[in-house]
Amino acid sequence: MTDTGKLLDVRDLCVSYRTYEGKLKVVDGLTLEVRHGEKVGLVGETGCGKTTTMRAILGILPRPAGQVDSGEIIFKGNNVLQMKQKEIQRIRGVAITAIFQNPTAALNPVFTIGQQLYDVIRSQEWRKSGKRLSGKEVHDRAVKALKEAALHDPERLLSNYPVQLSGGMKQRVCIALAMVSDAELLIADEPGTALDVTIQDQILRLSMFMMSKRNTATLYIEHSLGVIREWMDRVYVMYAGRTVEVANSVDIFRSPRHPYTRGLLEAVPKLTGGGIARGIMGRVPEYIDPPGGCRFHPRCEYRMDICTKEKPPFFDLGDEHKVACYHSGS
Amino acid sequence: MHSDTREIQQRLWEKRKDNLRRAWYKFSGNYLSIVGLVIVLIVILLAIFAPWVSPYPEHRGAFVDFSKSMEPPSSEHLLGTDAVGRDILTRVIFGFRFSLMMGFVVIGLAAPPGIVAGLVAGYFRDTWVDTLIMRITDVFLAVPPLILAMAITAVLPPNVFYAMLAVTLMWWPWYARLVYGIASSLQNEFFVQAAQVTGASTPYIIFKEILPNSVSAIFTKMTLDVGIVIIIAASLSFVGLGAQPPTPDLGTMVSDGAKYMPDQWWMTVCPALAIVFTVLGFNLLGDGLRDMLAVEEV
Amino acid sequence: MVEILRIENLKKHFQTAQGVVKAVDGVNISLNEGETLGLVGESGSGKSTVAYNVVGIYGATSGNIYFRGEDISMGTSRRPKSLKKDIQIVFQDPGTSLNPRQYIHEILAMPLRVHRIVPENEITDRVKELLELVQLPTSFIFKHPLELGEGEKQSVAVARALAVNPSMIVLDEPTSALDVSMQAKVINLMLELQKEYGFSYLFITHDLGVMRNVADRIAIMYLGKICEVAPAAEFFQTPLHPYTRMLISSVPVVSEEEERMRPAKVASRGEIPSPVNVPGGCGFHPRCCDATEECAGAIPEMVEVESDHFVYCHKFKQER
Repeated sequence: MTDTGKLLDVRDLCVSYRTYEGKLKVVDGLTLEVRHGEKVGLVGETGCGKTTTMRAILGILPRPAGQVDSGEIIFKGNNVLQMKQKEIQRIRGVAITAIFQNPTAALNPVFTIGQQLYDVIRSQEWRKSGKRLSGKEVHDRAVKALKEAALHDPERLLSNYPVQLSGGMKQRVCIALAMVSDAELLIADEPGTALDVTIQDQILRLSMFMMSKRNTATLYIEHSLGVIREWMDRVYVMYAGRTVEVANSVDIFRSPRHPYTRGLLEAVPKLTGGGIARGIMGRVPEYIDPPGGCRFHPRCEYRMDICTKEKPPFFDLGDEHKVACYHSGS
Repeated sequence: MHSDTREIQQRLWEKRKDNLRRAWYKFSGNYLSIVGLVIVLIVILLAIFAPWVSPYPEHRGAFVDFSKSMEPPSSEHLLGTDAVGRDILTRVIFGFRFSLMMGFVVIGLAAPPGIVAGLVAGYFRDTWVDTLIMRITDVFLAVPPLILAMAITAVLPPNVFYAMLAVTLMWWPWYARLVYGIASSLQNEFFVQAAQVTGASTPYIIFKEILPNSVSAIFTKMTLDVGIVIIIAASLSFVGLGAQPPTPDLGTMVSDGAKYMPDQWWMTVCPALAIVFTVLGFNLLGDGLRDMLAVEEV
Repeated sequence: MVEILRIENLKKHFQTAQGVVKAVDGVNISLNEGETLGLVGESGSGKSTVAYNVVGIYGATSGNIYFRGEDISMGTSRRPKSLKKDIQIVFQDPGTSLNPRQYIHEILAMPLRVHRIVPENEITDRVKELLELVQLPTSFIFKHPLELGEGEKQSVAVARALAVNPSMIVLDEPTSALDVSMQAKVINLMLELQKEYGFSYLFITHDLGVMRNVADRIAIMYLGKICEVAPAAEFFQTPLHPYTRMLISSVPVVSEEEERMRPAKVASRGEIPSPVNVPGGCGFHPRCCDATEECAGAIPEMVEVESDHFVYCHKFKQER
């Protein structure tokens, strides 16, 4: 059952955490797919389960509290959830790679950039082909990787410690680290959030350029709708552990259909001014006892009876625009 | 419209109950914490009810029965008897009294001045107040603790009171150090700055804003330290500078029994194991408290 | 219009192991009663240092800050208590601006007690009123900050600032830690409060979208200096300083109207240099596409291009 179009296919994923309050169903029936070479954005507010989704895909849920209850994560035709630890390791870092939000925390402060880069290059090659690289080869590849990430003077940089670099440079190093493996899927968790807009702009341009060159697909987790609109092909909007709307990045901003997507878009402060909408009433639900039916219904102004009872399926609006809403779907 | 004070107190009470339940959940998450709590409770209860639970309460003092001297463990004397025929189990149980008293009194005396010194120095970081307080603590910290205690007890008459005084004197700087670290980083926090901007008084900021955030570290250290002080007290007794005979004391018992090793091993091993048991209990409890009191994002 | 705050040639330098950091280096701005002045800049621009100087967390190295004509450039410890009542601040990170070990009741009661705003037996009632004022349920009084959402925490921080009935509130990136829908709530709340009570806001943020919608006038900072000051609408319609243009063109936007009004993409280049080693002349010249020799040599003077629209750039001096 190999679908050549799909690189990553997440079906009905449910992830929960155990806490004092009880079991938190943080991700509840999430479905998304990433095709070869495609740039997919996953957008949602804090606590909607974006990061948990990423962790589940990478197999790095916090233990023992977090666990996948059901669903499938299919990467290139194989279910990651049924793989052995060894097989996962062969995929993670080699075929799937990641960039994180905080570059300062992602780099180990006690090792030089060189040491960290060499380690990654060596272990990548070892896992991929079982070959051991010579010191010279490793060094050359490291220099090439840093050059490609538009970092000046890579030779000197290799002997620098992370504290000697600015936030933007650190994030470039992280991108270089993520890219050495020629992975097929890059999962990025808000890589620009900790940076200033001018630097974020540079980082995005760089990572998108590098990904296009390698035909790397990306699942880009982001809370900034602007970033999604300007750089992504397709967008999943996530609310309270579920995807509520999916469309290409032009349609979703021109004609958002789900009431949540609309509320979110209205709440973004515009450069054209004119004040900011009140935002969506109410607050994100508690995961201990989430609302039944559509999880958004307590905050929705178009609520109907059925919304409180049944989980809305995806309604196809054509042109790959799908929405999980009884009001705007039918 | 005045809020009904009773209603508010009721709500506060419920809130506290819920906090306790939550704390217990976190504490009991690690079974070792429970083990520690049980050990500590057993030791404390034994110490309090020693005259009633020990098999031969009269053996605690200057009691001599050479006919039973140096008997190995038996059903009559579970842990054997010592050189003058006293039941070791009884003396261990009474020994807990001295150990615990030493631990609680020393920590109880050493912690408050150390905490206050640390809070004040940390809040006024990089001023002369900081320099003065922390250099004084450095002086105390520079002297090896056991040596200082031995020096003091050697100059002063060897008795329990001076032993405690000596250990207390060398103990407060550790609290100053601990709290200084916390306070000096907290004085940069926004909530402290907000209080400064609003014009709250320095004592308010130190005791109401900073201190509550140091409590978890302080309690953890206090619990762990009770165990360490027990060891130090035993060490002092071992070299003859702590509790004086015939007061039953674990350190003295280990020291006295050492002369009869290895043939009459129970005279040394049993009180030594009692020390290990107690210290282990306090250590496990301390770890559990640290997990319990940590501020956690929900 | 009555001026409430005037900052004159404010400098704040820090001595560090690497050398002197000129966090704020000669800033002149003013704020009118009931007005919102936006102070925008990237990290390291010194905008928060200006804020901390205004509320007195730092004392100024040189220069003056006048609040209703009274010099307040000294730090909090030497300010009269009445001044502390007039100027309040809302910090960036609601997580650390509220004491995690206190109940909301204690947090809000502190300013009431310090300034004896209400008698002791009315404090609980006043705390409840404050919570209502920031649109939070009064049942929050016995919650710890950790039990609240980020937006709710920030509302509590706003309530704490309001408790002493201030006339000016410094808002230091009050919404940068919040999600858009929470941000919308907090910003609207603050605009409503301003309309009702006439507060003057010094609003600091790096988010230009937010700035467009809250500020009456905007000042942009780079490396401790002001680059451009203009009324909000003009600031976005006719940005003059090359840095302003670069910044606005880097903002990712969500609609086509915004895309049309955004200046042509100025590819951003370089990063803010280390504040210990500031370039000579105009601080922005190494990143500027229009830089000339003059820019590297001399610090640009203020030019009033139109009424109320000031720019610090050599390009505009020559045009006149």
